[in-house]
Amino acid sequence: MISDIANIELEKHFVSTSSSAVDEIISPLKVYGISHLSLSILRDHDKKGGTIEFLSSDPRMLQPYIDNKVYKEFLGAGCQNYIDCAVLSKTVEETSPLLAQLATIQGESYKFGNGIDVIQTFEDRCEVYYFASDIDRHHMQEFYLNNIDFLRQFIFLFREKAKVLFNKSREYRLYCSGGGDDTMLTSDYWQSRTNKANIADLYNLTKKERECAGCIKFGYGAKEIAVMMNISKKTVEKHVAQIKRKMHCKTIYELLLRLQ
Amino acid sequence: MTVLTDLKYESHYFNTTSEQVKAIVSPLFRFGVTMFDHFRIYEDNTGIDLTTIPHFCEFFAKNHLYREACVGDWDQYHDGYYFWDTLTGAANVFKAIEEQCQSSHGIIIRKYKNYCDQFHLAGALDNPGVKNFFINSRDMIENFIDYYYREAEEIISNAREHSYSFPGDKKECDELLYPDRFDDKINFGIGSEVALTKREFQCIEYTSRGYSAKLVADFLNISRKTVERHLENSRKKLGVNNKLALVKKVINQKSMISYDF
Repeated sequence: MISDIANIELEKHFVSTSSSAVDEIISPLKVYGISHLSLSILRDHDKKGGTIEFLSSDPRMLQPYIDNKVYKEFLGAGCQNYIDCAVLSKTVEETSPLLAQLATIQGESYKFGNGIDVIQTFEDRCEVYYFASDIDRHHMQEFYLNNIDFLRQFIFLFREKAKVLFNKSREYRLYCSGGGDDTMLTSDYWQSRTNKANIADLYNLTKKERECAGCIKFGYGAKEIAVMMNISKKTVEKHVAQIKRKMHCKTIYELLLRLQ
Repeated sequence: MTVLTDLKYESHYFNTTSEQVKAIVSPLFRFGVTMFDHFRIYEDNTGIDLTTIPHFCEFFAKNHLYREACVGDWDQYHDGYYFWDTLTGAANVFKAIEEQCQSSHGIIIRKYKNYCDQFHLAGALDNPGVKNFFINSRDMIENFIDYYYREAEEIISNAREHSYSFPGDKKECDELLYPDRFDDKINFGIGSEVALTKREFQCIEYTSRGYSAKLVADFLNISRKTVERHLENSRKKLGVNNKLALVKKVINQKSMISYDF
């Protein structure tokens, strides 16, 4: 049963009826100041549009989202453009007038604010978790900064607990037409927003060296790495020597420690 | 020992080393970081500064900004990461950095040992996205700090000889830098869902990679006996009979553990 997002009756829709269930699952987060969660799952997206599923602890958050056609901004050139990352809402609001407007409405009417989007991509879908707090809790940003892993762990927990809700929300998914090419939320956008980096960037490791380092991290020996990467053992040893030199490690043991 | 306000900035050590500091920090520039400042206060209330923005240090002292940013009792503060724009107690300092160095959207990383280390990292004014970089790449930044400690070992120890003291006594700057925040230290754990402590989880995580208790002990910097006790306790909590079952259970149900790892 797919209905068009433009003419849904939010109050009668699954999003509204399931909200207390979602609210209960997120109740442990309230200790830390996170009071709301809205999850959108995007599927089958191309430039024309796609489907979207909502689960929300408070459907009031979604009304301005639908009224202002904010979803179009999210669809853009398809959800394959999304990357796994966390994005503070404040940083997005500064570049998107539409989202800034939405934030103002949410802030003024419902006192939500200081949110973060945690995006997780899968082969067939993309899940956007929007955690929000109260408008005056500015240091929530800091909570996210210090505990981003905690939020990711919570998402695991959420998925586990909300299995039934997930299946149901899929039944009640909504169709929406996309924003075409004009959207700003392209992959470049996400990339420039997040700039994910890891230890390999720090030490200027080459692509092959990165692969090797990844294997070393998980405890594989040169022989095994050679098989996995389809290169000779000698080459692997060369790579490892180079990594050790770049990372100033004398022994492989030291390197292991540093890669953790 | 020179008092901060009497320093001759042009010839001071932090001016002469700013190029060296830049070279060490350069891997971060690619990700939009534009300024770096490492500020350390020792227990005897003297400080050193290794920075990419030496001219700001002068501004900092001349305008008495240290009164806002350098208060005593360093050990009261918690280690952690903080965004500049939430630290309202020192808002003037950050505003000055914005004006003087064209850098904003920064974070402070605080580490306390026998001294208090503060690292300031910030991006360009028009790049709020750098905050997301900090959030998404926290592991890398943690690694960067290690890397910095190693690379900068020599200049840090040299800087110690050129350290400065703060004018006046601690009472002169009696306003606490970051009010309200340090009371609500975050305790991890989601209600009854969490059966394991952070350490227990770490021990299992490493064990699952095939490391022996001895090796795990080295990684976590605790004794082998402690590791074994952690494993034993978590085994009891989860009601399984052996180590293999324990690892399997935890890896399969990662969701039940909610610790920052």
